[in-house]
Amino acid sequence: MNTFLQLAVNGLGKGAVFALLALGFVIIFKATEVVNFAHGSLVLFGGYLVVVTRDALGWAGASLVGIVSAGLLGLLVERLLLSRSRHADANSLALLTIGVDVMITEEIVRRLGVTLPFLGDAWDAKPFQLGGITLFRTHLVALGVAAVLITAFWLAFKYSNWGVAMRAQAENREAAALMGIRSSRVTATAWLVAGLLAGVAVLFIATQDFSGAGLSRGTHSIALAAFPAAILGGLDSTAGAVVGGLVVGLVEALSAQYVSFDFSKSAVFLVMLVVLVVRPSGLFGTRERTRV
Amino acid sequence: MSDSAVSEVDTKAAADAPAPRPRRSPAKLVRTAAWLVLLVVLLALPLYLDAAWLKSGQYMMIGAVGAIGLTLVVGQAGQLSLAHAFFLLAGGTAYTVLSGPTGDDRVVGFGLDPGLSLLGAVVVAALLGLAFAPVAGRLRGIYLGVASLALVFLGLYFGQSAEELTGGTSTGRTPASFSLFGFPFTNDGPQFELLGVPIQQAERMWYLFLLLTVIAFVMARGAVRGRVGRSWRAVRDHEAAAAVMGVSVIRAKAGAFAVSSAYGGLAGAMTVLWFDILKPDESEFGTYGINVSIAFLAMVIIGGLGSVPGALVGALIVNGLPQVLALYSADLGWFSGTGDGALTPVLVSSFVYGAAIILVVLFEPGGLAAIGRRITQRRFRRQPPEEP
Amino acid sequence: MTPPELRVDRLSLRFGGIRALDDVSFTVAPGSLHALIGPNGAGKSSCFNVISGLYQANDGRVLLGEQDLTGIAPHKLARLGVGRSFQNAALSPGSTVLDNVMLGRHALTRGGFLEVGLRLPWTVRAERRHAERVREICAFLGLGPVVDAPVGALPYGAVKRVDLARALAVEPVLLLLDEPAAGMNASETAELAGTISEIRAELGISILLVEHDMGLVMGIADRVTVLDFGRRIADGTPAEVQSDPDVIKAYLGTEAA
Repeated sequence: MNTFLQLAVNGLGKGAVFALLALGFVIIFKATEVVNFAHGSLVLFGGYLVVVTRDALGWAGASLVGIVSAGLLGLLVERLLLSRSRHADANSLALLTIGVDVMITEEIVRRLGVTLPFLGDAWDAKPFQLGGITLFRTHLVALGVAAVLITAFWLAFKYSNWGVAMRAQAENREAAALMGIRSSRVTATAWLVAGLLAGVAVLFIATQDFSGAGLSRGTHSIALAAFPAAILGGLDSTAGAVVGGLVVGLVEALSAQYVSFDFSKSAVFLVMLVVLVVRPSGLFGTRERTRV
Repeated sequence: MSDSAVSEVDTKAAADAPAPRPRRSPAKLVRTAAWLVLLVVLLALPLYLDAAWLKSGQYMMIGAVGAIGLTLVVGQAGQLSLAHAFFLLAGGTAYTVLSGPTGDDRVVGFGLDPGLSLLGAVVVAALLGLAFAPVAGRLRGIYLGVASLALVFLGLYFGQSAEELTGGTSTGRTPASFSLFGFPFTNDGPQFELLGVPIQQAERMWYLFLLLTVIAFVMARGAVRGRVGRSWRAVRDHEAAAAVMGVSVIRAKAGAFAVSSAYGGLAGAMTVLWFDILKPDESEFGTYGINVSIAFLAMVIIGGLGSVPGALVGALIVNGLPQVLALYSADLGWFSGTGDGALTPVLVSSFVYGAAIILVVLFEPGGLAAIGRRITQRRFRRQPPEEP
Repeated sequence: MTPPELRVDRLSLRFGGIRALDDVSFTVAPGSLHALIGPNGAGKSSCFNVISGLYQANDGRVLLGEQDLTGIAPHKLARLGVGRSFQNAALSPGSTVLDNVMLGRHALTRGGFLEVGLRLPWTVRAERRHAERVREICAFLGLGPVVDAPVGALPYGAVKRVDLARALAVEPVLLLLDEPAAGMNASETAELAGTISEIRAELGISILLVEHDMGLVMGIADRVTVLDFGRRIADGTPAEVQSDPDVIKAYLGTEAA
């Protein structure tokens, strides 16, 4: 029972991080219908900036720099590349993000070389006992931070001008444009927010507690679990992204314990496949109706 | 005014356009001749190139076979697949297991004829692709792309855990060397020369790979031009219209996926023959990892989605570049650095194709195939048809 | 050979709470040209999509002769002789006219990846034979000179005719035309009306035509069914329908709004 409880807490902690990634992913999809395959490279970029600036600014300052840079990189990718290609449809742009991902990831992995730095200085590797179970600070802080950020996002989505514009655009792009909503601003903000969330996520991923591995190509692979999280929940559902993230975290933690560590990654994707077969648009996604 | 103008353009276009000809004769003749010349050159190359160059040429042909398969499902059927690396692993494993010696304590082998095993590898990969039909047939485009990532992760786990089949990540296992009807594609067996050049393993494997590539190419072109390719394009462009015209959308999607899987399987069998080892990856990044799926996708995008000749050129660039750079680097003293931050041929190639993907999407969505088409059309036709 | 009769029997279709079709019935007599008209959102296209198998009706049946079409997968209808065109043409712009129209032969041909890929002689012969027939159909619709041109390079009127050619390539006994005049100017519409009459005269098949615009319909249809808000409000000859007060109200009502 204690093992299970411990796994559940750890799983939810990991799940909270996946939720942050999946949420960013979904925000971009909602605003532009582009599936962002470069999400993993945003994660790496944020982490890399922490590594580079940590000596000069200290961990907290460097983390802030990392988060902001990941956001700015997202913004840059959107402004510099995606917004320039007016003729390309969402599917082609998704392919374009694959190109972006390859370039950024390869360069950062090259620069990191054999140093694989851990990033979660403030919370990493400080487990403590509570009622007979071992808890990792990283997971608890991640849960807390994710709860705050997701709530903040949800409030902004519901009440801010940007949120309203974003929802209008997701509903009907042309109508939104007619109402005077500047689609470019909504889109750019979506990429910025997604980048910021990725920058936060990496501070938890590249830790002893989360992955046992520092910032590396492996971090990028872990970030890929945001795909099943987002798809599970439904690519166009922000609530689905959060639920999907938590499910992915739990599935990974439980299958690593009860089946095998090697299997845990596949397990996440297997669950996604099962959901897709039953509900092709995910748990909370809107089903598309073919128009003729 | 505008009314009559529209209908005028309409009839004028009809009147000006050339009368229907059974075949576009001059263009077609030149094209056929060009393909023949290319084939002759490829047949003659082993007489002039040394083994290292032949080896890198074989690697490009692996890319070509895989890319042709991928361009069918991605470009013709409009279904994104990131699972190609999985089917490489499946095909490679199937070949190794089927042709492997029986009675090995550590790994399973069926001791089948290598030629038969190669065919078996293609069939196994196709069946695995079909088994994915409940997903592949029902998902659209990008959704399928993300879902198909699952197969790469499953493949990674399979490679690690099914050691009696794959040999495991630490040692792997050696595939049976290829032979066809008893003729070995090694340095053994009957020795003979062609124009003074001994035809040994490197040359023999070149001809084997060339044969496989030509078969893969010819079949893909035939299918694309015929009934099958039409149904794929219809599903890609308008599912409802395809269905009304008698195409089962689910079957067409699943079929395209299975065909592309079969090509992936063949490329996988070629891969283990090329490396002379089947060695599953330890992480998502490796011989059968996500990076390989993406490399194949890059070939297809660069060549032009859906274009079979384009896939060849894409493979030449993406798989050829690291090989050629590695061969030249020794002479030129490039890439001498090792360790942290070193530029390697593989890394440089990744940058090149990453950038190429971006440039193609931004500036030439039809890829190199579209550029090629424009050039030939300028040659043979006065007015190139406008892009929609 | 007389084509079978098409009977639409008490069809109902709901999307969530919206009734797209409500107890709609009508019969297309063998070899007749039947029009289905109504203001925007009347349920014409929904009705069409049910007949061609793209939507599942909640209630009611569609019968082609003795054959019950309800619940049959859409791709099986082509083999039963149902051809259909689309409001937005729904073609592959990058492919040639011939290639697009050849799709209509899908149900009439056979061969999977291996047979077609290996160019087995019988597939090559079949392809050639069907291409010949398709060229005939294209020539009949005035597309002869542009058969090898990509559809994306054609003017709008020609694109619509390619869609029509594709529907005819199915060799239908029942031809469903979804707003064939949509987006056409007056002279193109007149030309189209001639073509449709010609198709009927030449092939003797039944044609069911959905149209928004009354003008085209009244000139060529034998019988007209009028829908409004998913219900049938009139059914009769063009003259009868034209003087029906409910029809006038439905059209004037929406036009005034």
